[in-house]
Amino acid sequence: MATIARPLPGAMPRPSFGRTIWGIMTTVDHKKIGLMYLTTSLFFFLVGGVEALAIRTQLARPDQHLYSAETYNALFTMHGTTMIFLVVMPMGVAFFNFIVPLQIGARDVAFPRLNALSYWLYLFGAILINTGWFVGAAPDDGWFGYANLTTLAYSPGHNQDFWFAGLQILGVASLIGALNFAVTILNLRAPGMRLMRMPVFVWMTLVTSALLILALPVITVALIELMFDRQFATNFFNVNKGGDPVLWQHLFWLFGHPEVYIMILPAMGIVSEILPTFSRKPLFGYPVVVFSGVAIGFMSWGVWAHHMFTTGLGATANSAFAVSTMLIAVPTGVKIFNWVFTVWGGDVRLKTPFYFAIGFVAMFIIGGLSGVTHALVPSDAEQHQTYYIVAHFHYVLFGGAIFGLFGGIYYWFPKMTGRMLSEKIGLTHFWLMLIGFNMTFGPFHMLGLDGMPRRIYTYPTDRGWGFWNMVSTIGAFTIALSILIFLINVVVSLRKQPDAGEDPWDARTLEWTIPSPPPEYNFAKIPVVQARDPLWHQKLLRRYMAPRAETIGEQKVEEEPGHIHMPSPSYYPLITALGLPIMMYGIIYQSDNKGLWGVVGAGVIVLLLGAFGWATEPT
Amino acid sequence: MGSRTRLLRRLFAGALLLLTLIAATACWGSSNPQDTLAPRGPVAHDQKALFYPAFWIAVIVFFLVEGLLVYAIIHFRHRRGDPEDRLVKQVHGNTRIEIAWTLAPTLLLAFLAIPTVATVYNLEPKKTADSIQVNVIGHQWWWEFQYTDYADPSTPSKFLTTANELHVPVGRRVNITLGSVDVIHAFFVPSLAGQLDAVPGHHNQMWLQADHTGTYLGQCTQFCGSSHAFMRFRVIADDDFDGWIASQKAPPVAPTAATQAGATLFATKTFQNPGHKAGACFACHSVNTVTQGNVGPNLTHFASRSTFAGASLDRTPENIAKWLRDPQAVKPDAIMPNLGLSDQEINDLVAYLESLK
Repeated sequence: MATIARPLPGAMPRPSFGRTIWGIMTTVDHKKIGLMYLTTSLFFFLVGGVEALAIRTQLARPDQHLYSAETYNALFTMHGTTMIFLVVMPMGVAFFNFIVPLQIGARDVAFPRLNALSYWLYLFGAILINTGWFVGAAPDDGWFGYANLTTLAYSPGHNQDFWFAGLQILGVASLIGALNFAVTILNLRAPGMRLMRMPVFVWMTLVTSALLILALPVITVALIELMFDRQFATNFFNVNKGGDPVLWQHLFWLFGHPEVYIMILPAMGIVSEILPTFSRKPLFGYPVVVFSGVAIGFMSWGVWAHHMFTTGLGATANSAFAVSTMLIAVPTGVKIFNWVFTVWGGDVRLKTPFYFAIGFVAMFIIGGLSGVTHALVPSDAEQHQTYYIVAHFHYVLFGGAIFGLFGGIYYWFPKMTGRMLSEKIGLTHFWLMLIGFNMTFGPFHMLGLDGMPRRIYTYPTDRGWGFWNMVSTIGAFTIALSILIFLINVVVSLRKQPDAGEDPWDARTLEWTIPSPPPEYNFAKIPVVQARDPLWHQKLLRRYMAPRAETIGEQKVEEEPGHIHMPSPSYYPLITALGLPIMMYGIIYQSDNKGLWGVVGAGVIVLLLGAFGWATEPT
Repeated sequence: MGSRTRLLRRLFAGALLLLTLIAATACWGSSNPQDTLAPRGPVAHDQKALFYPAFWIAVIVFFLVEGLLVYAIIHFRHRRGDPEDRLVKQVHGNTRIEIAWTLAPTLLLAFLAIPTVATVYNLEPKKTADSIQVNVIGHQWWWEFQYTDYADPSTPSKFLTTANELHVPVGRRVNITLGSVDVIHAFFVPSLAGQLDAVPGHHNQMWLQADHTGTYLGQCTQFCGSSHAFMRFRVIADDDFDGWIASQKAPPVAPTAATQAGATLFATKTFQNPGHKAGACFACHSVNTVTQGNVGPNLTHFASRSTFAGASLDRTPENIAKWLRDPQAVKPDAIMPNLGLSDQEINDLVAYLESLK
């Protein structure tokens, strides 16, 4: 419950709290926004999953023509774009939102209304980029949209317009979110929560935010160039006028490689929370895990050209990037060892979140090892753009990120909802997903080594690729079944009585010191942190050491929650966010009808109105 | 030991067995025509030679680390009957071990980095006494091959040009310069050489060499639009390369009574193609001494090839007729339009094209 500041005379009153749609639309509460991120990203996980099933059905047998080449190309483009920008990234952000303020002992993020703006921009960007499906012009040039295929000469429809417009908006959403989390982590930590006492998940959020802040401007530049080439006849990528398509590749991958770590670091953070909790001992080598995370962040800027080993950059560039790529495997490998030794010597509780965390480590090892073989440039020439690379990045992004994120869902679901997910159904989900995953993506290694290029919509029988493709397709449907079981688990568990309590896992960090789900103000009294893993530290003192008079860091006196000032809800983030997609639709269609510049103008007005209302709103 | 543990062990054993089988399958390779681990020339051989040490190191690391992980989970699991609040030793780290496992992968990677860099430089293309030069040009969605060492007899300023089937001499170095007229493509013949992009505005260099006579399948690997899947090609290593060159230098077979109708149609009937100049077949396709169209493949010796349409169709009269009836049904978005030919016209053209030995 919040005390709402009295409105300034003449200003519009702020909306009041509610559980209704209106409440969702105006909320600035980091927990509600986190749940909105989570449900939206899970929805798009299903969308991207259906696209994947469509791809696998077409490829199940040789010489199939279930749909046209154009449809297939749109399917794999939107599958990649959806899973990366609409699923893995925002699902990470969902946990940043819900968990980071709780883990650092804060009552909200630094900029609650900006946080709402991020979410709405994410939602509108996602809708915009998917608009193509409904107007018969879904993006179809691949998720990394290599110029000059994406220019007007070779992609005349609006397909790529939806792509660049949607990604621009999603980029703004991520950039705002990243700044918000960086400021939150640096400024809103509870007293005593020094940097080296922060949970690893918070550390990984900080590194991810730094990467986003630096990487998103690069892709923004590339997308603006593409937009100008397509809409305003510039020639950044037009070879005949002196442009160069390789420019796109450099810009894209200079963003794109840090992006890989943007997707994996949150999952690494989640795993670094789950393993100590269920092994009931501290993370092995906390400083090393933190510093290797930071090192990965730095090194991720020096490896982008390994995506371009076959672009023809020359022997010197290829050698340099081969070595830098091998080097980045070192901090990654170090983390793996630290996780294994966190389990070693523990009192290991085999619960669902732990299974998913181990699934992450086990599968990520495979993805990491196949990644090393890609660094051998001459050998990579045989595997680049074949299914071998598709196997590699699915082991990293599905075996890695998705397993880690599901671990996070099972781990924090009780905190978010107050209810435990069923262990039995959870384990069924885990084993089916693990088996389905390996059945789907394991065979890709074989297909790649047998020379099957990625992104071909059909293949002849005589290449001998039929068998493994069929196995893979069966695997894909096994994954789909496991996800169905997960959804059943959520529905069944939500209908139960609240049963989680504050600390169902006997965990270590601050979020487990408050009720589940947490009250709107999170902490009745801001805790004082005495050690890394503050809750576990207290438990050690209380359970295993002589009880001392002063209970360290514990809150004896509950402050009256009525006196806590919380940010009030606001409709302006939603209005402000609405301006951008309107502008983008106008820009997309002005090439058909110059009158539609008016729509762009309308978008600008909506944006400005939103910003004005925001600025003058009573705080 | 509970039944659950046994089940767990069996599951893990099963998983390990499966992975071993998978690894074994990958090693033993296969007889697939685009197998990347069955080199038939020095470039592919050196590329494969780098893969195997990395692969075996990966296998060892895999079993070591996954084994350690699985062992730790099983050995240190909380057993029924263990006290609920048992406190295990709260280890925070161990600097020595951590330095060790930072150094170990660094050394392993250095072991891989040295031959990698050496091979990168060794595989740079270079001219030798008996090397030949071919310009490979990517088009949406077919390959053009220009033999720059051999002039086209009809127009000496032009090179001997073919499409989709690259003939090379056995045992001789073939230096390739890659280009593209439209978007980025990639040239990939797994058994002879790994891929390299054909980037418009760039001239990437690579080489390959076939040590044995044979036909090697290749395919574009850089996504290049609708018919990317049909942008295939073949490399044919000839014992009698000079004989092949001579046959390609020969003027096209003159039309006979049986093929005259098709030849006339080829040279005279005008077609519309939105976005392109209207014209007869020869506006796009070259048949030496008749024309120099270069939008589509050179057809001077069309009937000496075994495939066409980006090497995605076998050259049979039925397939040629199918292509002529509606090229876009075979290769979506192909630049060649549906010409609206009558059955008679198609028969005439098939007869003419099949005569161009």
